[in-house]
Amino acid sequence: MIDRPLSVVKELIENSLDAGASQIEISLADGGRRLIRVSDNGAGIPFDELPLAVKPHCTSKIRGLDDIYYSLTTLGFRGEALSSIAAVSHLTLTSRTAAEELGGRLEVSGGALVRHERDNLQPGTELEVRDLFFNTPARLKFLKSRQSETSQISTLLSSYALAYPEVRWSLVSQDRTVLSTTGDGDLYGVLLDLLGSEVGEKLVPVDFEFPPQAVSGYISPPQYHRHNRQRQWYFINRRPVGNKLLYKAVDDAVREFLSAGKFPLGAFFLELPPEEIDVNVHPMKREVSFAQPQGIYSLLRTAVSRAVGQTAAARQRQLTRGLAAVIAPAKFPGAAPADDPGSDPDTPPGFQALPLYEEGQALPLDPAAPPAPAGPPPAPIDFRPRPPAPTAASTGQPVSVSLGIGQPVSQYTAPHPSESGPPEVGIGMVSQIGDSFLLAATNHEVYLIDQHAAHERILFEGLYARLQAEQRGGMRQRLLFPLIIELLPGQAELVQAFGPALTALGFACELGAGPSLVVREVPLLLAGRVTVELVHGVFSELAEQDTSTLLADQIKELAASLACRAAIKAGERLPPDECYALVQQLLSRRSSLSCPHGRPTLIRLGVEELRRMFLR
Amino acid sequence: MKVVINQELLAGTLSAVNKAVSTRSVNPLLTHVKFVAEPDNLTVTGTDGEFTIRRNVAISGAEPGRTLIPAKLLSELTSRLPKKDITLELRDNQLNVSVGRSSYDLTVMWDDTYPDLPDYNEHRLVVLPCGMLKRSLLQTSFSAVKDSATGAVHYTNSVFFSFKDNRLDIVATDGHRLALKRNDGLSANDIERDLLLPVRVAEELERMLPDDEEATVEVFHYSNQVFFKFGNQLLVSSLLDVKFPPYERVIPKDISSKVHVGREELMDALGRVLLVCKQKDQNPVGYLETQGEIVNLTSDGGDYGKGHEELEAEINGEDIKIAINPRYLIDVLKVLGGEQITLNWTSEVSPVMITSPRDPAFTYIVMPIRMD
Repeated sequence: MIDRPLSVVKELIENSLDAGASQIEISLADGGRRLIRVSDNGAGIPFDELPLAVKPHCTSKIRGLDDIYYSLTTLGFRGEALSSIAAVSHLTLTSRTAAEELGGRLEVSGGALVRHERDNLQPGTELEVRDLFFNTPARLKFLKSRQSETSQISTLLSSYALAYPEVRWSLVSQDRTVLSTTGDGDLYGVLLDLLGSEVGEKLVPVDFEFPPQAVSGYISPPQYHRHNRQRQWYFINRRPVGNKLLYKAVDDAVREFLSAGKFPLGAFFLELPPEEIDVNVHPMKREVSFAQPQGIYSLLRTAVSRAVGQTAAARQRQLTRGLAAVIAPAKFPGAAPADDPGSDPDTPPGFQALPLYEEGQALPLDPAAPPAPAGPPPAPIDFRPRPPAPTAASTGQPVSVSLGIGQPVSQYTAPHPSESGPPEVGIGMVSQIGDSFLLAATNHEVYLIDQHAAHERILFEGLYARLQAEQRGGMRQRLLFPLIIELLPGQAELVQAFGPALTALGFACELGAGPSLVVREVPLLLAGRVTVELVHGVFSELAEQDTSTLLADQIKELAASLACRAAIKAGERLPPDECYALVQQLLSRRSSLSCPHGRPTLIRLGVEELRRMFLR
Repeated sequence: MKVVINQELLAGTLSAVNKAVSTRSVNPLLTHVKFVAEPDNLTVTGTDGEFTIRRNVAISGAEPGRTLIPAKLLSELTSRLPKKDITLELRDNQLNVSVGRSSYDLTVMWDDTYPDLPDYNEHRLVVLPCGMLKRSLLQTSFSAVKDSATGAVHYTNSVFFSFKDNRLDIVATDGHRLALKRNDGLSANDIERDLLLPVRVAEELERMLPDDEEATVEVFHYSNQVFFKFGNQLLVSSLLDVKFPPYERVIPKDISSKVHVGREELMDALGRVLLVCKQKDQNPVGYLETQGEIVNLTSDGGDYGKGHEELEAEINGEDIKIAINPRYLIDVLKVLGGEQITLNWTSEVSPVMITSPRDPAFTYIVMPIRMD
């Protein structure tokens, strides 16, 4: 299936990889239309076999029948690629194996053998494809501009560079180097090159195993994102793939930190047993199908959730440390500003904060061995610059640390400096601005808080938290007068579909005459906040949801929707003590930097930002 | 217009009337107070359009006239003037306010669109003792929700007046608890009327009513407004156009146990356990459990710690066990007199009823919190 230069490059580099090359160079002229040259230092092809290489259905990659059924780990095996390319171009294949003294050269034009001769060569293989589609004007017509074809190839190559960091890659187009890697095997180094150091240095490792499956890679913290997926790479057993299920897993994992239409950057490597996947549903092999899609979805989603949950929680701690020092101790000297049981500052926060990702999924995630909360779990590759350690913290300056599993979390929870220098005098006052935002200040920073988003986050986590911790059971406030909500056509079905989720969140309701929904109990957290308008709002939102999703997802959707609608609105005037209580509660949350829909809850302006703003 | 009035009298009048004046109104007229002078009477009115307070002040020798004066400015100026007679004199668009050597000219205005009150005198509903109404409001209005968060008006934002069978029920609820004061023996000529007063107005009325057993308040109902006239004051409010739920139905009938306990003791103990409740700012949970002659009161605040109180009680019936918002109980214990109160219990899912032997006309019910 050779339809454009991209597919040629793909076939050729896969051949190079299958040949065990550690160095692959690609040159393009006119976006590959005039010339595609791929040279490698791989095993090479013996002189006698050169003509076979361009014959259809000849492959050297299958040695026996067993290979086909059980152990195909090569990227290609059907033996179609080279012959198809040869048929539509002027192809020159030069190659030498290590065993040979000389190599050979084979020239084919439009599928016809032109020359087969000995040549003096270095070991390895080079393929030159000139004048692609010279004899098939129809396909030529469908090629895009030079820039477009080049950028497609560059995107493809970045995937392979990530999948094979031990290979030295270079892509030259019109004598300009588009991409080059060192080939030293450092995946992170490749990502740094591809994403730039600003994002690169903030990347968070993704590392999750559920034997025999595993996920590794890196993801950007939510504050770094793109509006498309171009900086996301997915691999299964090192093969670059694009798959909606995988996209959805990552989207769902970050949904509560990023609003819709924003995508984190990152590379995700899934290692799956070969029998779990079928890559041959599409000749380009970009598409894969899974034997157990739900398990794969859970695997990736859990892996990403953990990584992002940790980074979000750690970032919150870092950002709000100053504020917490001022506000929280007013009531709890020496205690963590939290009122939930998972607030032990020595526990990595992500594990508690995002529990449901580990429940109710098809995948029973490692029930025997929960991630050890104590001690730093190993990072796959330790690459990050060490954070400027406690010296910076003791000056009260916000510490800019990159966050990752490799560092003990206690670092972020170090109490605000007080052992040296004058004691902190917190302002700790919270004012409301425009009936919509809260402003809190300490001696070192100013915080701006979106009251709606903040309260939404608090309610969401409160509703959601009661599902993870059985110890408090479901506290529900019984209503004096049942709330009777007349249902519109279709809503009764919706109520039934979401019934279990409603119950799980602490509603006691039933279908009544009319039809109507009769609510007798509401979650304690929402006591006094559930109105007919709220329920209708939630229903109209749910109507757009897919009712066939997992219960855990339904619950989450419902909790997010309820939280959003029950939360204090922008434009609502709050008495000062409520403002204060809101900030306090927000600080006690794990990942309070964004509301469940991904909008930010809190903006921090440190002295350094203020200096910059005042041009000092 | 020219009026001479004592500083203290004017300051008091303005501060009372200003309760109804809006501070930030889209209609600038409503940030003014209206003065209407007659030879022997000065009428001062403040309104926000929904809620009106009017006071009549006896004066003598005034030159009649009328004007609209910026409410806040006049009030602040008056309170800073010496305690002597103040002369207010209207000269064109300026109101001259003078005492001794102090003299101020305030820009005033007149506009016929300033809301006026309809003639309500024909529509008297009932005459009530001031003290009775004041106590009823005090014992009920706290149960309502102070302000509606969404701006939508709901029955939980009201105090409900139900006239029926020669009695007046005053009721308020927030949907989880309800307070009811039943006033029997009204000579109200079989009127049957349901009035929903905004809770803010009910609270203001409670504060304004004199604590005088002799005094009476006349209640008028005309169109969608209610008028309370007492002494030299008039309070007028628009009524809420919502339906109050059938409150009599939720009052438990089959009481399975009665717990008599000291009111102040219980209130103090609740106040202490409230300190160690989870979510004490929002939805605190306390646990009440009886055992023999003891009421155990506990709270679990998770990281905050926990609390336990034992209270002696007289218990008739089976042992009870409920989870409840301690604040709901504290609220009612504050407004009840007497040494003892009674907790009336039916089941874990039924409301708990609090009654007072000294005040049988009062009923308070709270819905429990349920756990799995």
